[in-house]
Amino acid sequence: MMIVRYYFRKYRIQIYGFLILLFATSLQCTLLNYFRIINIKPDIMLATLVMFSFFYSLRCSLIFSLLIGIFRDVLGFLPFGFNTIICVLWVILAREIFQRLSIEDKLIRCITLFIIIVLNNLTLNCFMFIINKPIPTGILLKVIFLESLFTLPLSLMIYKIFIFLLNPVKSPSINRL
Amino acid sequence: MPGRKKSLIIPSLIVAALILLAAAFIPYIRASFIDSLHLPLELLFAINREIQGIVLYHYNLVQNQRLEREISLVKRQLYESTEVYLENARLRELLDFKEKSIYPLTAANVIGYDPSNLSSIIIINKGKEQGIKRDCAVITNSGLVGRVVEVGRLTSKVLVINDINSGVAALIQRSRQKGLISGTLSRGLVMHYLPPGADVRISDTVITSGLSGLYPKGILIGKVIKIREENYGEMFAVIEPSTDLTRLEEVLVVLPK
Repeated sequence: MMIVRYYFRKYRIQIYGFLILLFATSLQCTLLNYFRIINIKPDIMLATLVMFSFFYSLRCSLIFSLLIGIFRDVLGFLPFGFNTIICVLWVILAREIFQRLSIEDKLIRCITLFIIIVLNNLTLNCFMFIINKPIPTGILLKVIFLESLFTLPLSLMIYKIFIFLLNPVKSPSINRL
Repeated sequence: MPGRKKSLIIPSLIVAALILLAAAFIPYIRASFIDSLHLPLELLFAINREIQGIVLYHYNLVQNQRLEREISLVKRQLYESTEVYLENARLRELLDFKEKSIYPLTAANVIGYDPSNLSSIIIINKGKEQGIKRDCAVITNSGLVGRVVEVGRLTSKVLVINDINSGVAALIQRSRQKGLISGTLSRGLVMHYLPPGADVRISDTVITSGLSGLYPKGILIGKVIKIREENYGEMFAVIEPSTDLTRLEEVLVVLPK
């Protein structure tokens, strides 16, 4: 029991991150489908991925991005590995954007998430075009616009959850930017 | 430190590339992953259904009253159609027609959905152990849902007909006009390749034609709600599916004979 408590305290932040990841994945695949508007649901897996890049060190956020990518590949229908690779790229991009821009916190996070959502959908469309299954432009634009519109407000809630659970002021192990 | 960053990025990308390579040579890697998520997904979906029951209480109450009225109407129609069926059976016997075989079905629960907004996939809790194979048609009591695209031991993935990459060979029940139905990632479907002047009307019933071999013939798809002209005089029809494809909970899988 002592050993369990020791390791829990030592890896508390990573454990919380993993639990948030599981929670976001399960919500995305089950409950969120009942809250679709014009058949579009918010992408909280992507929002969680971007939050990982803000609150965790590069190594941790890359590991979590790999896990999110694997979950997305397992539950989706695209060739396996596509989401795994691009999720890693989005984490790197999110960290670069946040490091280079030095204006207000929340605005930067929202802009970063918006850019990631747009790029994710565009990359997916390019990939579908390459494998000869293109997405009509009207549908793509609708998905991009509505997905970002629904995801951004939820991302503020996810940000609050991260702040509450991880409490970066008291946890020096978190590499907060 | 850039040097340290590079040393972390490159191994991560190598690992990700190895996963991609492994998946190319081991086609069942994804199916095995989903099988291991089978129980957690089922549990989550059961919790989800309970929450939905509480949240949608009033909606369910109104729906229940409406359905009770419909049941009594359908019962009356059933009695009338039973008479027609019996007469048909007698006539077929007289003419020595071969009877159409009824396809075997198995019921399955929907335990998950695709996380992406650019595809329409559902995950059901039946797989190879229950006799399901790739390209099995999936239906509900109200109509066509889609076809199985990936099969694991305990779970399967179904491509719903409102996915962009889905194509269903269909025909208008009244005029027997053939066309191809594809999805739009929303509630409606579109029936393409209708020739100029095709005999299609609003409220026409659309069923599967059985031409592609993927879906049995005669399964209800939906009703025509709009008719438009495409380029060069070709027409297309907007179809409202008979099944609510966005709120699937239980489906029936047509097993191979």
